[in-house]
Amino acid sequence: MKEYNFFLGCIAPNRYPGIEASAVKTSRKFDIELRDFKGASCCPAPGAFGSMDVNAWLALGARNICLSEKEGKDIALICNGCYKSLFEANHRLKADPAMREKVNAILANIDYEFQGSVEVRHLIDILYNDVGPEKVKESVEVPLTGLNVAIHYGCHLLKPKFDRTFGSSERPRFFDELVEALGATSIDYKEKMMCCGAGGGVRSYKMDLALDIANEKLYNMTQAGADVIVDVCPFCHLQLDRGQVEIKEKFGDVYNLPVLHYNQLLGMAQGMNPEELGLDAHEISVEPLLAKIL
Amino acid sequence: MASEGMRDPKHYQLGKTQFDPDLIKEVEALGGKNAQMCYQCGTCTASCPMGQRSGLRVRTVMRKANLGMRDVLDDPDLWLCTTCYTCSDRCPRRIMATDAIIALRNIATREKKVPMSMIKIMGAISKTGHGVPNNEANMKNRVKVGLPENPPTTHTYPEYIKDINKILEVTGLLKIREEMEAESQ
Repeated sequence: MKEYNFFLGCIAPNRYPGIEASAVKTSRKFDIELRDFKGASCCPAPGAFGSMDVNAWLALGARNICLSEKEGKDIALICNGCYKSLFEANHRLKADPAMREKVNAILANIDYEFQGSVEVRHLIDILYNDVGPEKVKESVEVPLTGLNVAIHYGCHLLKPKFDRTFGSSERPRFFDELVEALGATSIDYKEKMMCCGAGGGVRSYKMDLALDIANEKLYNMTQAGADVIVDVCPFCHLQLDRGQVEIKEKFGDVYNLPVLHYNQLLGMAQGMNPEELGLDAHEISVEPLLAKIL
Repeated sequence: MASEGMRDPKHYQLGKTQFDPDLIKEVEALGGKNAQMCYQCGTCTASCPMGQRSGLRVRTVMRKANLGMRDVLDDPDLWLCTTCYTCSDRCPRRIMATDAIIALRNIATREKKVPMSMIKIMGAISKTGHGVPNNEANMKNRVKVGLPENPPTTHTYPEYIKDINKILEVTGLLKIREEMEAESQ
């Protein structure tokens, strides 16, 4: 069994607890234990904190990494924003001695020191590269046959590509393979790789413009015949789920397109019931989806 | 002497616009690597999802930064970048234009030109350790899926929050927040 410190971030535990719960439960099927990560905080939000002070952003991210270093555990996480903060902090501080020195000088004020002794992994990376689509497929009890999935990779999982391990950010396939391993169909849609619009602090700064981007994505997904959006980022998830309510209020456009995190979709395929996956906490009802597959 | 002034870019001025040759160096030092390599092809602006619906023009931001036009720091559109990094991944000069924008935002923050929406997120982290803290409705939803009311983060262990505030203090962010909050009241 492989154990990771489970870095929760903010939006999964504090807005969509079903994402947190489903990640823990689905991972156990693959002998992966996501354990409590005591004292972790916000990653911190890369759009807001990186924009205010990159050194403070790196130091606050490094504080989280240091906590895990003390326990000798690699970190697993389920949010692209957290991934940007922690993967990049870990990667850059390991690679750049001058930057590490600068950040460690900040951390010295709280008696922490970044060692560079652990790894930071997105759970989707672990599922694809360590578990593999074949084993994911073997865990399926309820194949999601006939389900049209509009995949939203989210930006910070893949970009900037020079600071990531997934290769091309224009036409990636690994997430599609993991969705298809569950029996569902990953549909192509216009501007599939486009941003959800929420990042960089824009959702809190100019919500109308953030939602205008989401609106375009939702339109394109609907036009392509999507039954459900599947993401691997709780912030994209919030933007695309709650965003539909806000888009209806502000622009009058209605989609009612259910939004699931991959771990929730995986949980459904593994036979878990909608309540334990926290699907009733979503703004957009998942009933049409359940009717289609159950 | 006027001719010497022209040779020393620090004194260069056109109309009312000041040109600060140190601006681009500062941008590069704050993470906007190779920003001086920009040859203005416009791939960034063409790739920008926000540029299609707003006044944000990444190419213009890059040009202004390179020319040292500090008024770019006052442009409200500087804060419209969602940091999607599409421009950076497509840049033929391998410039991290997104990181250049982030660097410009860092400089603007020091000059207290940061939007209050950002300051509010800092306030939430300073108080709870979370940018998006827990609430009562969510606590019920957590229990429904078999989780404790609060996650095992700073919400359960608030004793860790003082370290976060110490980092905010030594990096100068706490002072910026306090001053901007006082000025906005």
